[in-house]
Amino acid sequence: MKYEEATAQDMRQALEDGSTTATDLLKEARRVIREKDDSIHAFVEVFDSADEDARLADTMIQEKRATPLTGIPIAVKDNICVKGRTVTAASKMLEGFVSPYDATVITRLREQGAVIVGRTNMDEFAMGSSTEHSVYGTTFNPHDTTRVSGGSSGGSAAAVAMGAVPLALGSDTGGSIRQPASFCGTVGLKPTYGSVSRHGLIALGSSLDVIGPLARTADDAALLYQAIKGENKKYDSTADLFEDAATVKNSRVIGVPDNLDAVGVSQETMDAFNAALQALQEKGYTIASVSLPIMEHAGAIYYIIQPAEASSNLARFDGMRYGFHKDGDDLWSEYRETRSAGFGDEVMRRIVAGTYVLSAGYYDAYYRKAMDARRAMQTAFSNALEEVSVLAMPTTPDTAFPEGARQDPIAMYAEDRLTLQANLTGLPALSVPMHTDGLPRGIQFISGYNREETLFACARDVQQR
Amino acid sequence: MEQDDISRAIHLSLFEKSDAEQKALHTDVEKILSFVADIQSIDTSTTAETAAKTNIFRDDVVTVPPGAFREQILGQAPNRFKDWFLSKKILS
Repeated sequence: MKYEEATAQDMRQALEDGSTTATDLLKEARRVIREKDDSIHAFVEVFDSADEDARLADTMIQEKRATPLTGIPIAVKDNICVKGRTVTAASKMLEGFVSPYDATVITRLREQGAVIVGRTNMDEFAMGSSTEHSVYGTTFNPHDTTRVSGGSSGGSAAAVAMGAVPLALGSDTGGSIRQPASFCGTVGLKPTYGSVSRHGLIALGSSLDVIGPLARTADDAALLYQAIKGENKKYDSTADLFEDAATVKNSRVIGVPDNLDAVGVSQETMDAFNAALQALQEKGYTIASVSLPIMEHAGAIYYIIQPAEASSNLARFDGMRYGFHKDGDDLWSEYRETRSAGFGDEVMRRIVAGTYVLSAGYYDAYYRKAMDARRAMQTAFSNALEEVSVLAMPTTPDTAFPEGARQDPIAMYAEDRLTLQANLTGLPALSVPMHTDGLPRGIQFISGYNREETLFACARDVQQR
Repeated sequence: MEQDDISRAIHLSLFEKSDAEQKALHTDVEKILSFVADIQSIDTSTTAETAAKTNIFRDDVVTVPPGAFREQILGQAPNRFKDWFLSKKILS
């Protein structure tokens, strides 16, 4: 078993037959990080506490109490709280902040005996699509280190792609798991909204945020998703908001939006996408064209609702109780000095835009209108998913771009134009690498609410030629 | 574009920047507002967002033992006085 290429399931097998231990796997993870991460920069901290995790895992295995994730090295995005460890959302604003508690997803992983290897880089407060907007600097793409890893969970995607860990947690508000998965050639799942607890996730857009897995295979992603999903009665942020789709009328029918040209996808990506669809047809799937004109408006809807929620969520960062603080002449100047020096440019842009669209005089024209449009999008997608079992489209318009190539904020926003819809509707969506030469490109599947199993099945069929 | 209202949003967001930085931020927010202006072209005549709200709040009960995280939290305060966060004078 070559560590860098092994799946979590391979590692599980090796742990069970005694050919490796959790402690050995952790050593391997640290070796890969030491050898490769100087040029990639996926990790912002490797946890010393992982040694204790590995010892506990080895004890669980010896005592025959192992679960599917016992002893498996897992990396965690820097916006998920791990008790006693620094967590910063890649922002100066949370410099030196140590989490007093575990996020629910971390509690779940601990119960399973997983080994939390370290925290991974991201765009500041998860705002961005390249992991360039980080106080720690850029995370580069393991397939070409002059290019970005995608974002905002770029560190988690790169950690999996470079072979440091088989599994990582990310968060997805507008594509932040799927887009870096597409750029780095990994599988990434955005689960159904509300299916995974957000307790201990540093909030960005609370009606959009969801934690999900990044992995090298669909089976591994399914393993991690099974481990983290479900409610936490004590600190609840899970909810069964959506009725499961009725029995799907047309199983194994893949709907493809007829307006991908208008949305804007590169020719090379369309060619790879069409080849992937062709291969799926050969495996017995039927391809149907679906009309979803509202898809094209996702950017306008999203970049009203998300900044609005971000401006509200990030109002708590005032330098009085934790994190970064800058002295001022009086209380108000301390707030202003702290926030102006603590937040990066992209975060400030979105807070101001969000404050604007929520302000008296603009609320109806922007925020309320966007909420109505969001509802129209949910209806359109639900209707489409009554006729087909899944929707398919490329995950990203093109491959990973070179560092610094998206200086204009609006050009960066356009990178998300195929992923925002799943967040706005709450639908689950998964990106899996297509078979391409050169840089990775992902195909995205979107299914009805709580039908993640359908997504994993499609992904398996893409991965197995 | 409503220049004064963007400046007001910057003020309400509690940001204080140099003139050049303020101008750059202003320009970027204008760009974002132009980008989302397309929202007006979406037909929402048949959707009623307010009808779809679901109450997901849990019962309003304290779920954390009193003082459970007090020291971990207060220990991170930039300025502390005994068991309180210390701030500059609020009332003048």
